[in-house]
Amino acid sequence: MRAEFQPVVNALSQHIIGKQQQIKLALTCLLANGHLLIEDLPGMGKTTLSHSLARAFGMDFSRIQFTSDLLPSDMLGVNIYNTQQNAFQFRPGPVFSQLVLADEINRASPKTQSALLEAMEEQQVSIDGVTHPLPQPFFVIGTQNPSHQAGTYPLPESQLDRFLMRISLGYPSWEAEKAMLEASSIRRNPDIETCVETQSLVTMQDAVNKVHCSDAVINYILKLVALSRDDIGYPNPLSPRASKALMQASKAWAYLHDRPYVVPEDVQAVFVSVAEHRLRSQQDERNQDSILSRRLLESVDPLAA
Amino acid sequence: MKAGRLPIAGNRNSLIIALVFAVLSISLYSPLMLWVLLLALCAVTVRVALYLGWYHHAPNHRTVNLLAILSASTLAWFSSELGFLLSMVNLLVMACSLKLMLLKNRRDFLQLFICGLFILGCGYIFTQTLFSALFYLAVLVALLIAQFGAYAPRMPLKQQLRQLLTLCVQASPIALVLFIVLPKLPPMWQMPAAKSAATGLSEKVTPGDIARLSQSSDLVFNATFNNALPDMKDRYWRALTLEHFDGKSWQVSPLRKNTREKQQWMNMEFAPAVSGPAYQYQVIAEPSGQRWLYAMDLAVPGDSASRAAIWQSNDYLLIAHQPLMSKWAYQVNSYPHVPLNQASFPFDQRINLQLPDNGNPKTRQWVSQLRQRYPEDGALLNALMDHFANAGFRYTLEPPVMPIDPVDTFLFEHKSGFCSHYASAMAYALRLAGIPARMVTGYHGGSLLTDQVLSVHQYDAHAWIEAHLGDSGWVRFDPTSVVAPARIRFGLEQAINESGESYTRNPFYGLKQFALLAELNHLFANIDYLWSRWVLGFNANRQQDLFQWLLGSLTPLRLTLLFLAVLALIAGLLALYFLPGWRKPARPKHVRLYQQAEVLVSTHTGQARNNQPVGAYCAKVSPLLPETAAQQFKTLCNAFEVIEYKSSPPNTSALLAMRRAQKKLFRALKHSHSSVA
Repeated sequence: MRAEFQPVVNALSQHIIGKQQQIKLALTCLLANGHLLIEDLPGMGKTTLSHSLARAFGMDFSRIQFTSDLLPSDMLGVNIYNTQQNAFQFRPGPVFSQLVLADEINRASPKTQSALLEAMEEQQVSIDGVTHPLPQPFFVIGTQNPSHQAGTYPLPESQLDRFLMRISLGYPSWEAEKAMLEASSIRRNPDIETCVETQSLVTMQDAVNKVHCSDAVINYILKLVALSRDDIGYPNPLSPRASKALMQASKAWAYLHDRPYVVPEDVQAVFVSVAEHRLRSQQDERNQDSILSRRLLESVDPLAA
Repeated sequence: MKAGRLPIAGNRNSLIIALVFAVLSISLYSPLMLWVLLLALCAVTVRVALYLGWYHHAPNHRTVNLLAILSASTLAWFSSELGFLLSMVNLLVMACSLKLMLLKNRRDFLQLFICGLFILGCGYIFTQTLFSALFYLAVLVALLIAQFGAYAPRMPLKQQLRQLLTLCVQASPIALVLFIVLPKLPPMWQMPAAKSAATGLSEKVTPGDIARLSQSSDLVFNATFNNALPDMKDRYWRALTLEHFDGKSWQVSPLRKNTREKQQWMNMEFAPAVSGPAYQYQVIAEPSGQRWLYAMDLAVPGDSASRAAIWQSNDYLLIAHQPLMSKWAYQVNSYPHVPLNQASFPFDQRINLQLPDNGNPKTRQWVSQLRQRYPEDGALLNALMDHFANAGFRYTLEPPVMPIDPVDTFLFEHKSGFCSHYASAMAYALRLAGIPARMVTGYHGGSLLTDQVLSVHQYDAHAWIEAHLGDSGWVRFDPTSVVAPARIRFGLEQAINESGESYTRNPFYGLKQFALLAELNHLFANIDYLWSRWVLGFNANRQQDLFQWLLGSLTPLRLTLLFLAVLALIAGLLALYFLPGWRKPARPKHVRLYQQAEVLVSTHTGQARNNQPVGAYCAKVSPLLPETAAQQFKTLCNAFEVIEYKSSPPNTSALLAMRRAQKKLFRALKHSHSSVA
C-alpha cells in the first residue's frame, strides 16, 4: 500500500477495529472522487467510519440526520430576508461541507433524497435561481438501514447508481469486538489527527486518473458488463455509468496499492462493492450476500481474448 | 437433481427430439403400419404434454413394458406379411416411441438420437428425390441441434445453430470425398413388392385406360443418349406386349407369363443376335413397383451391370430381376434395323391368333369381306390402315364409353377414340383375318430435357400393335399415326391442340399456360435429372469409371495409393479445422507462454485457474508447488502482468524474463516429477 495512506488506515483501524478491507474500500471511493453508501444495521460503526475519515483528511464535516419530515431546504439552505440590508441573504445548509454524512438516507422522503442526490451529481446547489457551487472536494457518505426495517423509503435503482460504491461493515469478529470493549474501558477514543491534507487529496484524485488501464483490463470490464446484460440471470444489468465507475474504482484501488497500472485483481477487489447494489433488484434487497456479482466474476475469464 | 438426469418439463431438447421423431414417423407413413404410426404420435403427444407442463408424471416403466410386450407381439404377428425390411423399420419406430415415453436421462436421450439417425437412413430407402434428400437433411440438422442441446444446455439456440452449421459445412467436403471413394455395396435386403398399383401402365388394358394415364404428368424415365437421338416418329418405347384378348380388354398372356417364369427359373435367357447401327443410351427409370423396363426396338442391355440385373424375354422385352422400388439406371443398346424375327416359339403364333368366342359381329363380318377382297397379308394391312386414315376417324382424349361390343361400336358408330382403341381394333381385325397380332403398350416420344436427354412422362403413354409377317417377324403398325399424324410427329400436346379439345382436361393446361411456370417446371426437371444421374446413379460402375479415369489402369498399387491419398486429404481437412492457430488469430507470445506454464502447473497441482486473474491464481497454487517452481511461476506471472497490463509497446526484457522463467519452471517441475516417481 502507498506509504501516505498507511497512517490513515492505522488511525481508522483504531476506531473501527478489524475492518481493514472496508476502510480501504472507503479510501478507494474517496480517491476515485465518488460517493459512498454504507448499508448496515444501526450501531455497526457507520457514523464512526465517516467521522474518522473526515478527520483523517482534515475535511470539514457535517452530518444530516435524515428523517421523514426533513425538507430539502433544511439540507440545502434557505434565503433569509435580512431586514438590515433589505435583501435576501443565502444561508447555506449542512450540505455545504467537504464531507457530508447523510445518515439513514432511506428514512427521508423521496423529495429530500432526490435533492441530495442531485447535489451529489451536479456538485452544486440551485436555490431560487441562484447557483451555489459546493466546496471541493465534495464527498457524501450515505448510510442506510436495510430496507426491511420499519419506516424506510428504499432508494430507487436510478439513485443507487449515483453511489460509486456500497459497502457494509458487518459484525466485528470476536477478537475485534473484545479489543473494542477493552479499549473503551481504558480510555476515551483519542481524536484522530489529520494525516493527509485536503489539498493533497485533490492532487491524489488527479493522479488516480492517470493510472494506466490497459486494453486487456478494459476488455475485462466490458466483458463483465456485457455478460450482465446478455444473461437473463441478472435483473438489473450494469449501466455505462457502472462500467465507468468500475474502471475509476479499479484505478483508485491500484493507486492505493502503489501500482501505476490496473490489473484484473484490482477490478475484482472493487467489483462487489461497485456492482452488487446496481445488479440487485429491490426484491432481493434484504439478501445481503453478494451472489450476483460473485457469479459474474466467476463466469468471466480475465485472460480470454 | 442427479447428474445426467434431464428435467422433464420445459426441457427444450426433449421437445425437439420428440418433434423430429414425429416428423420422421409421418414421413415414413407408407412403410409404417397405422398402429405403429399412432403409437409414435401418442409418444410424441405424451412428451409435448410433459414439456408444456400439462401433466407431470411420465408413464412408468411397468406401463411401458406392458405396452412393449403387446406391440412386439402384434408386430411379430404381422411380420410374415410385411417381410424383413418393413418389419425392421416398424420395429425401430415402435421401439423409439416406447423409449420416447420413458425419456428420463442423458443415456436415453443418446439412444434416441442414434435411433433417430437410423430412422432417417430408412427414409432414404423409400424415397430418393432431391427434395426428400433436402427434407431429410433439414431433419438431420434438427436432430443434431437436439443432441447439441443435450451437451450444451445453457447455450442460446442461435449460437448452437451457428456452431452446428459451421461443423456441418466443415464436414461436407469429407462427406463428399467419402461418397466418391467408399465402395458401393449392393443392398443387404430385399425390397418389398408394391402394395398398391402404382400409376403407370398395367398388365391389363381396356381401351380408354391409357387416355386416363394421359392426365398424369409424372415422369416415367429420363434417357441419356450417347450418340444421336432417334427421330420423334421413331421413339417407340416398348414396355409390355399384351397378347390375350377377351373381347374388351387386352392383357399379358397367362401362357407367356408362365413360360417366362419357367425360363427364368431354369436360367434360360433369350439372347438375340444384333448387328448394325445402334442407339446407346442410359435410362433412369422412376420407381414403378413393376419389373418391366423401357427400351426401343430390339434392345439389349448395354453394360455388364445392366446385363446382370436384366433378363431378356422372348417377346423382346427387358425385365428387371428386382421390381423398380426406387430410381434405377440401366444402360441399353437399341438396334432399329434388326427385325424381330429371332425368337419363334410354337405357341407365339397360336396365342396371337386367340379370339373370344363371340361378340363384335359387325367387325367379324366386315373383316371376312375384307379378307375375301385382299387375300394377300400386306394388302390387307394396307387396306386396314387406309380405312383408319380415310373413314373419318377422330383422335380424342375423351372417348365415349363403349360397354357392349366395343370394337363394333368403335369402328362403325363413334369412330373416335384414343390410341388404345385403334390398336385394339386393328389387332382384333388382324386376328380375325388370321394374321398373328398383339397389342404393345409403352410410351411414345418424350420431350428434350437437354440436347442429349429425353424425358418421358405418363402422358406419353401409347399403344400400338405388332403383327407377325412371316420372315420379317414382328412388324410394328401404329393406326394412330394415320389418324392423328401430329401425335406421332410432334407428341400428344400438338395432337390435342389440333383436335380442339377442352383445356380443362388437358394435362398441359396447368403447367404450360404460363411461360414462367413452364420454365420452372423445366428447371426442376433438369435438377431432378442431374440429381438422379450424378448422385443416385453413382453406382459401383461409375465409381470404377471414375477411378479408371483418375488412375489409368486399376492396379492394386494405384488403388492403394489412391486410398492413401484420400486418407491424407481427409486428415489434412481435419487438421485444418482442429490445429490451433488456423482459425483464431494467433495469441500474443506472452499469453501463449503463460498458458503453457499454466497447463503444466494446473496438471501438477490439480488446481484449475477457474477464471481467476493471473496473480490470484499464482498465490493460490504457490504453496502446492515445489519451492523453486513456485518462485519461477511467480516471476513468470509478474512478468506477464507487466507486459499485459503495464506497457502498451512490447516489453522485450519482460518477455525474455518470462521465457527464462518458463524454462526453469519446466525443469523444476520435471525434476520434482522424476523425484516423485
